[in-house]
Amino acid sequence: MKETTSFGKERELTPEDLKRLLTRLAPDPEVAGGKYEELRRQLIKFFEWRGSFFPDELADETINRLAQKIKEDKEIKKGINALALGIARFVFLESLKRPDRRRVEMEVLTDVAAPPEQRDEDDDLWLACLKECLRSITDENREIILEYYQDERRAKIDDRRLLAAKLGISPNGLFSRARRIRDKLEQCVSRCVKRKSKGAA
Amino acid sequence: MEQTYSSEDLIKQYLFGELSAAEQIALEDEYFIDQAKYDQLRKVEEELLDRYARGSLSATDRERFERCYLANPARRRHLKFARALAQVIDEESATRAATWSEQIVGHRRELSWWSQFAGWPRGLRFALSLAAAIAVLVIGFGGAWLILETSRLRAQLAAAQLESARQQQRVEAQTQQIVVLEAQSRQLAEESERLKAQLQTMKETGSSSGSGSARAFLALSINEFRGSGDQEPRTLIIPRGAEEVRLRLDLPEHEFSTFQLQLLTADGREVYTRKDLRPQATRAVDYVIVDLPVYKIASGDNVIAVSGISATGEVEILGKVVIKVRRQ
Repeated sequence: MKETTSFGKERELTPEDLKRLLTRLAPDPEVAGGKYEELRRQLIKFFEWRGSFFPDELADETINRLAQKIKEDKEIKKGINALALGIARFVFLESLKRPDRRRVEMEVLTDVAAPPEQRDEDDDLWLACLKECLRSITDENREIILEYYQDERRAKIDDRRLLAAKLGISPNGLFSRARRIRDKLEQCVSRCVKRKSKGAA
Repeated sequence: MEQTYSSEDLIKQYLFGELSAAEQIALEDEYFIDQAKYDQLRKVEEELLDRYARGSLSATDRERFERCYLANPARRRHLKFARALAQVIDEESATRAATWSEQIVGHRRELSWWSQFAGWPRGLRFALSLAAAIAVLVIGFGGAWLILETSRLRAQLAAAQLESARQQQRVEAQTQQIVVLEAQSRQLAEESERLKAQLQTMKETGSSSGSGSARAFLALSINEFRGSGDQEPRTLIIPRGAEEVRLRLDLPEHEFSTFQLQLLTADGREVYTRKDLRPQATRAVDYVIVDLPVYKIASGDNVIAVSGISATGEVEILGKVVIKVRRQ
């Protein structure tokens, strides 16, 4: 399946731009790195929820433009997140108007009413990659994922509260942590599936 | 009805693309600024994905989900991951359940010691049971004896401590009595000396009734002058025809070479004075003798004052004594 976009290499994020952006996010480099990842994730989700087929690319384009804005206008009154959202909306509207959008492969434009009830070969690959990626994370993180995302019929609210108490964090904190672990796990599995698919091909 | 942007239904509508443009923008403004709101959206989306993967979505939600998520490749990837995750978790849960069951069975086997014990020979079982019973009895009796013995010893200790306290009190009381008796003894000794001296004086000077040189006698101790003044006045009975009162003043301890004696009225007026009285030494006590003319002594209260005179001529008043005089 091929996906193309015209938001290619027009404006790449230079190291200086990235450093400037990170400094605006937080003075501490480590904290700034975390905030950058979170912002990028949030932008990807925004584009996904808006129905974009290329959320990652649009998110990167948004960040590029955000860094340029910071470079050009040092006196930014809005918060970084609010500014990023404004830029993201422009980027999304532009993506709807671009003729490149029509270059998406037909395979992507599946009939929305066709549920994938049957398992395909891909599912086994995803399962294998997930097991591989689960072995690469810490025992504690693995425990959190396996405990938190149990079948809802079994996992009651009390079980999650007990897990949060065991870890010494609040229930909301537990969800945030579980979500971050799940996102990283999903990225790991996506890369693994891509790698193995290319290898198989 | 006013919608609250944080409700689960509103979030579902957003995720399924069913909100108006204005509602969309409002919710995005909210979750881009508020991390908690963003977490809530992610939580709702995850639950939709996981429920769909397990086939537990309602019919309505399943239709909406399929319309939005399955048409988007990025969202389909999320579903594949959710499906794989559900399978791994179910496999893990099944493995854990099987492991717990095996452990429970193993523990039950280990815990069945009674059944193991029941398999031993009858004689051995009886001997062991008897030994255990005897051991329990010995321990029980031993424990009871220890408790009783400890209680008895504690009672003894308490009684001994009480007796010790009482004896201590007795010793203190006796010590006080000794002090009092010693003081009384000293007073009695002084009184005895004074009386002996008076008797001696009477013997030395002699006494005759009706003669022209009749005397009255009075013996005093310097200690009476140094008293607080609370003692009862001494009584002097002057017989008829007496012309003098011989006063003997005992000086058991003194630091003066000479003394002075004054006779005063009750209101302090000086009537008679004798100076340069030098003590006469005896084996028992030093003393001075003063002869007071009777006509100088009034009936009733009289005061005798004694003073010591130092080598430099300084006069120090040693004290006063009240004498009640009666004439026969």
